Amino acid sequence: MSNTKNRQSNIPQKDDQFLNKTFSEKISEIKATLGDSSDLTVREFRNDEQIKIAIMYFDTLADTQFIEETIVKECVDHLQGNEATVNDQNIRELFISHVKIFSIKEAIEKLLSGNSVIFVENIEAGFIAETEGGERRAVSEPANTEVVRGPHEAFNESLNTNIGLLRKRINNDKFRVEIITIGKETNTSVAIVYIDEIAKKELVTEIKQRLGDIEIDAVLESYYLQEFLEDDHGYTPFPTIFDSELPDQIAGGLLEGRIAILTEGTPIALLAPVTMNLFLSSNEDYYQRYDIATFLRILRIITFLISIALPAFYIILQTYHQEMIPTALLITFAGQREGVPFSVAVEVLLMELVFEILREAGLRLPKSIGSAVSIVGGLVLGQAAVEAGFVGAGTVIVVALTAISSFCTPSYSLAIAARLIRFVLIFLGAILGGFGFMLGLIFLFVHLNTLRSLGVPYLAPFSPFHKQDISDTLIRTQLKNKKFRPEEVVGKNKQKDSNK
Amino acid sequence: MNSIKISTAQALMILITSITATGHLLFIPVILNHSGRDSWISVLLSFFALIYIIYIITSLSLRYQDQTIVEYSEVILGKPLGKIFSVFFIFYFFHDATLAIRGFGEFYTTAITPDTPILVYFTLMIALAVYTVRQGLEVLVRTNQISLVILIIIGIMASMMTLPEKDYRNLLPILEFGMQPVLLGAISLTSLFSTFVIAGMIFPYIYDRKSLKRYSLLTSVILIILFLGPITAPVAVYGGERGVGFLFPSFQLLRDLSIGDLQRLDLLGIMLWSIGSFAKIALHLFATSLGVAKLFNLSDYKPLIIPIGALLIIVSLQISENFIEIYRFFKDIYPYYANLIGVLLPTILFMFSTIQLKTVKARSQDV
Repeated sequence: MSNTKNRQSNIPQKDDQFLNKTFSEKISEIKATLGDSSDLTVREFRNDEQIKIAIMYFDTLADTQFIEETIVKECVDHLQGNEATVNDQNIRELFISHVKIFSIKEAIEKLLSGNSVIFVENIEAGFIAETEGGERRAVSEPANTEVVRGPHEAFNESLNTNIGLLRKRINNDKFRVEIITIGKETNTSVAIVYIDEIAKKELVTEIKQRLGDIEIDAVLESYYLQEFLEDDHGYTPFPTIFDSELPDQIAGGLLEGRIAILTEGTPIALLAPVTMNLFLSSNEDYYQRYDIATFLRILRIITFLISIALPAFYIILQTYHQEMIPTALLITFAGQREGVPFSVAVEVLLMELVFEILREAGLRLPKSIGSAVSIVGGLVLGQAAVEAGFVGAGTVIVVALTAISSFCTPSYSLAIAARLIRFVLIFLGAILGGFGFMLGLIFLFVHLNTLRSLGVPYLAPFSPFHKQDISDTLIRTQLKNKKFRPEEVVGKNKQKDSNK
Repeated sequence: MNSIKISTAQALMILITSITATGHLLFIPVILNHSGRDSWISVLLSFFALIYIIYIITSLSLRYQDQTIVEYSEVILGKPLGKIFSVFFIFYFFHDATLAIRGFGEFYTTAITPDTPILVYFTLMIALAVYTVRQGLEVLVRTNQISLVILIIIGIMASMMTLPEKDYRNLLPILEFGMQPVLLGAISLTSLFSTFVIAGMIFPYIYDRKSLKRYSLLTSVILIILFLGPITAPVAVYGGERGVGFLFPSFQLLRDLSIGDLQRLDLLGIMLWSIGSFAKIALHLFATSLGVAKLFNLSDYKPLIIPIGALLIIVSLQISENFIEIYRFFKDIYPYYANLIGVLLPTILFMFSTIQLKTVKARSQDV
């Protein structure tokens, strides 16, 4: 329906064996290949002069109303005419169709993507009418990202709609879309979207090559692709490919020279190459005053650190370095923990486990019961656990603060990475104290430095250091000062405004 | 292997971390022991030695741009003698690494966890260093790039926090015992700065050499500033008598520090020296592995990292009976040993290389 796509044109191969068959043989062969599926509709029309026309489509995939109102109606009208002939010329007007098909393979591909295939007696080739339709969700508010200020549109499951949402934001003749199919069994359409002359050519070819190398049966969600696209094939808890359901965020990435990958059937678009900084910044940073945005960014980084390290830090303070706690507080802590039978490490692990259970339960439950879980979890478990002497009150505070902090990370995929690392640090801190804690943090830093997203260092522009790009990391300077695209990503064409 | 590319700033930053971390932990007490309240003069004097060392190493690196010090000693002195020089350098890197590990382990077991076997610290530290070096020099220098900034910020904050307790009148009188102890301290500090010779192993990987000399000289100034503060602080805070008697004076300062109700920031010390020692050990592990690989003309140094790392653990255990022995070694033997390898050998290389280049030039002019 939308002709905006640059569908990779595979030159049609003629299948003479199929083309030489009679009208009814062709239809029955297609039917047989598709196993006589109940939703495959075949409508045949004929008139006295024995002109036969067959329209085939899946009524579950095609826009049946459209077929009924235009193709069928035209067809019937035409056949009722006095001197009804059907030949190569007038069939185009008849079915609004320009595409011919020459093989059964092609016919089935088109049928499966929701198009209609039309056969006319005495004409060898078949015709395609673009009737893609079927059930589709309307563009709605983002389900998992709250937007205060900014567009409230989110991607949905339709690839065409998603590309349209991006194109609407970037009115540019350099906007490029390339669609390929991935998945031996599912044949899922995947779109590579970028802006020519801003995106690095090598990166585009690299992405295409990586997508081309994928050998997989099914692509049901974009993560199927993400794992193949990542530089180290997922041997890290950190996401090296950004994902978002917000078109404006993806459009912003495209304008910085990044490349988006949209998958049919997934409301989540992928973006690469990215740096860690992108996971910690929200697109709303650009929709509000720069001083507030800067404050929020720093706050987010602090909360990210808290969500990684606070429980482990609490354990080492309580077990190995009590001297650092102010004396008055230490006495209170000791008083609270009087009668608690477990060590601090066990306490923290218990509470963290309880929290993870609550979170997972809250995620799976219907919304109406969800609030009940929070009451049970927050009030009953938290307060009662302290009163029953299972845990000290300090532990509850620490775990609660960690939990709240982990929700401040704008990117869900980075937030869940923090969840795993937290447990590793808790173990290291509990066993080795301050040394283990530091060892864990150094290892984390080294590990982050080994990561690359399509060859771009994950911690850029901090390491390696790029002076120009710092203005959009910890701080967000005024938009008029943001003159450069990220150096690591773009390379050439760094300056945003060529006049300056 | 030559695909590793680092920037001048990154290379110099890892050298700064490597020198200051163990320097603050292990050398400051030695220097204080030598020159007491006049230590700051020793630091200023060693500035000249530092500039000399840096000048020699950077000039050599600029002359033989894509070669490590192990390779160009062979070019300059011929195969047999060059190999002997290389063995000296590699041994020095290796030995320095063991000293850093032992120093860190002793610091931890003495000051913080007396009951934990020292082997725990050795093994984990080396494991981390092995992991990092296997990921390549680039990962190491980039990690250090961020952590050095954090370390310096902590250092500056710590020195500002101790400001109210500092009384710089404690530094008076100047030169009470004459120049000799001051010179001894300066030589001792020079032996620490000799570690700069390890730059010969990482400078070949720099991609922008244009301002190498300028930045290297800036590095020397930064290093001196980084040592001036901590070396005066113990005397200024505790006085000339008590200040020189600590085993770990910098750590003692952090311990006695208090920010409002927050006291005894041991954890800051752990942070500083864990990160610093890690950087130093990883750098020296890299240099040793690469040096051995170059010495025997191996194409890849990565298979050597784990065996050399394991050897580091064993040698660090065997190197001395206790911390006091290491302390004495630093005080009495190390200055001569390190200055021999870190200053004298590069000077010989530099001289021969200059003569060679001049004769080549003269010959080409004759023809």
